[in-house]
Amino acid sequence: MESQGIKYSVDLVLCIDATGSMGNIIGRVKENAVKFHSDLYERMKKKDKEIDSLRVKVITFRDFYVDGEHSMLESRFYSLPQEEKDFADFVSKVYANGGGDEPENGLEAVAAAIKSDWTKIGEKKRQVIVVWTDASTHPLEKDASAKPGNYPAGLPKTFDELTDLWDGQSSPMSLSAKRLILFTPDADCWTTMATYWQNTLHCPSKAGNGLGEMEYGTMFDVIVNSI
Amino acid sequence: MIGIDLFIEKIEGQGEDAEPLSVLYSETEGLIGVFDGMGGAGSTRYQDSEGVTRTGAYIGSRMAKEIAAGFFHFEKDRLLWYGRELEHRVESFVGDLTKALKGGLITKEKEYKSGNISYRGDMLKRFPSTAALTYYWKDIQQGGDYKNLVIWAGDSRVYLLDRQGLKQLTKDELKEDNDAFSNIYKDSPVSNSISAGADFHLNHLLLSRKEPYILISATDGCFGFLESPMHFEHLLLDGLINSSNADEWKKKLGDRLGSVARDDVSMAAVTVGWNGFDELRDAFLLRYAQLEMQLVRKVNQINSSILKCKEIIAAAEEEKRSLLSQYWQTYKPEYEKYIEG
Repeated sequence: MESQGIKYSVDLVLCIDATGSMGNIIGRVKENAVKFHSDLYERMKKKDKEIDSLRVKVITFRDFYVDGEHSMLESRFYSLPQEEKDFADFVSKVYANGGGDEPENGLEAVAAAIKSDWTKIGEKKRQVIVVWTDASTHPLEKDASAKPGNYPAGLPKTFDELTDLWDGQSSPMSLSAKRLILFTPDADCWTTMATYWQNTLHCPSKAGNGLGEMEYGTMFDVIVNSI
Repeated sequence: MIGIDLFIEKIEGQGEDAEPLSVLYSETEGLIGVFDGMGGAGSTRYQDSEGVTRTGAYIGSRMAKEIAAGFFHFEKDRLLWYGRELEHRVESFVGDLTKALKGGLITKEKEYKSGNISYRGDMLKRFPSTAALTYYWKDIQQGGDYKNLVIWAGDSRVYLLDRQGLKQLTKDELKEDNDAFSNIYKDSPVSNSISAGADFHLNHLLLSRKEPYILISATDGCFGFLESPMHFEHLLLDGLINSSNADEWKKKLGDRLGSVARDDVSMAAVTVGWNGFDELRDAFLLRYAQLEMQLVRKVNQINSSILKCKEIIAAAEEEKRSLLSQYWQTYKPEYEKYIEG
């Protein structure tokens, strides 16, 4: 009789608000990008969980109504540790700037994250989306008939459609695998997600102040515990 | 009756399963139960009045155990008094236990102080725990059969083991509709658990038995890391058949589970209706032989073959790497003569 062990195939999508007020957290993410993989492995090992495969992807978002072609940038999945350098190179190019008014296009980033090319390999999969922002969200219905020219095609048109994308029967994410972790303010639509969406964890931050009060270590603990 | 309790913490002193509940009220009446604090949902840290920091899962499983044990201590006799009305009245009994847990957790929560960060969402709960317990008694008024009231929430299990094999009495409460075999590999989140301030429910099953049997309450650390549900039965019987007394059986089970499980282990078992250990062991000889010959030995042979194949593949890959590397050393100078220097 052999022990099963616990081996996980983990896909992680980091959605980062890259507007001006987020300078602190982007700095922290960059600092830790190089050791991200070994940090995660180490903490998982302490919980007797083994990562068979780890892929990480970054989506940065700002404001489609202000920031033009810099509004959303989506990387591919990087396999770690094999592509640690390429991942670190991508992250090093992320900078905090722009944003205009307070709400940002966080919902669009979540939609893009949900539609990621999730791994199909491995028995125990974990599909984790983490969102870092200090702002509320523009409604998806905003300017429905006159979206900015750079607005991506194929995104949900309403919050209900986004909810279906996350929780509906035809969601590209698996119920047992998916996790959504929100380091976001207690504001629209983050609070609604935390209240009604399945497999969600919300760590409220103070809107407009960056996420300075959050320790990176605490964030890591929350991510690891969710896997 | 023979009672077996097992408790193994993955990390000593930090086990989020509570120690198993095992109470013998009389020679023909008792209570067994297990409580699994849910580590992910219960990862919020709290400080008690003495300044000791624990996770909500650690505290929750112990709170649930304490409340359930106290409830049965004071209320179990109602079940004996119900007589013929038992089937109609048991739901209100379970409802009262639910209320006791809900109220008790809220009251006990005041003894703890949580950290400054307040989390929200269904992934995090206050003091979350599963529960799987059985109160059993000999119903003299109803023909001397044993009555078993099984109560559960979450994915900890109560089993009944008899000569015909292992039967799961509790349906796992999972978000995905996996059976016991597929959930070993798919690992669905739990859909219902006991927690403070949340709306949860307790399930129940009332079962009568004439023939002797073994009752087992187990957290998922006991069965979730084996290759199949059949392997759990085999593990239980292998320990039994190869022991001459209950202490030996307990030790063998502890050693096997300790080597296989990757989670805390909490298990309480009680044998009901057998006349001593020898009779118990002899009753399962045939069943054990069937499992051993029809399944486990074959699976072990296949596992050995898989291991040998992996060794052959690894050796072949190493041979290929070595061949390529050696040939490259002789190939390289001519190949690089225009690019070197």
